[in-house]
Amino acid sequence: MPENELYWEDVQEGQEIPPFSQKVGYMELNRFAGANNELVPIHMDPDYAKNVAKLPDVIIMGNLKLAYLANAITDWAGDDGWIEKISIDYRRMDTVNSTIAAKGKVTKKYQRDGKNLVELEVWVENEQGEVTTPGSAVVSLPSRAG
Amino acid sequence: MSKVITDDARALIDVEQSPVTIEVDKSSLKKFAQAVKSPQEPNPLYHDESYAQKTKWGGIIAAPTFGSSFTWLGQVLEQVNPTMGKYGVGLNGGNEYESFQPIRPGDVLTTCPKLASLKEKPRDDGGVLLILAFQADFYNQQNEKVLTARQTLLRIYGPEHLQ
Repeated sequence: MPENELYWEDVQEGQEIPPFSQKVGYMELNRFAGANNELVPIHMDPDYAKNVAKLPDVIIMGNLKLAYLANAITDWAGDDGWIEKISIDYRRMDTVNSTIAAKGKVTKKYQRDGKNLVELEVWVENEQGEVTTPGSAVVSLPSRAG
Repeated sequence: MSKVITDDARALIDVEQSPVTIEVDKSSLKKFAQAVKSPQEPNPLYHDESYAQKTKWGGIIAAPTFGSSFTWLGQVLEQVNPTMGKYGVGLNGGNEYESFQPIRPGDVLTTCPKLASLKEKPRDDGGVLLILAFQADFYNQQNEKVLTARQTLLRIYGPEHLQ
């Protein structure tokens, strides 16, 4: 068991997990576009985004926001944690060169089918503190009881 | 009465489409892990064999949302799109990933993706919001279910699309 591991017993309902924040420039967008097989002009080309798609600017992929939420969870839960389920809605757009923060809060903890489970409310916030991407997650954690 | 959804489109709900196969290699796992953490260093569990072997997983596994890189949706859209005529602006409405087993390098995953549901809602401008939900269950080479991916697409039909 690594030293930074989180145990189910140490989690409290209502606690917030440390956020994962990142300024998302073209470097992050293009790198993710390649790795995620998501080569779509509204995520790469400002001329297309503004003048053809009529968006305010190039927008950050929903899948990258989802991955940032997974980062926040795994950075908190450690290598022995497992995201059983993550579910998110894309309600508002986030644009290139903005800093977004992936956050989460424990809503429930329980044991079921031999698993030590934690439910979280998760969300992505923009620089104004507005929630652009709400969702939820279920994570299983190791127990001190083994 | 539906303005956009046709009987042909409804007939595709829950019908599994032709299989899509994904071969998972170490290089793709590493690139994904780097991209989601950049400019920080990626978690070695997703790319460093000697590190990963010491964890409870016993080897490299995929980052949690690696399934977003699987291009399965096109397989269903090819069937669905022709059934509903001209469509308007498309947006990603949401994603859900339910993970049952780790995805590992060397895995060969197969899915028969499907349209899961169709809904339409009237818009104030006289147009329609079409909500399409899709699902793909992925099985590995041992026929173990590893992942269920759900995807929602939103399509906004303006009044001009409803002629």
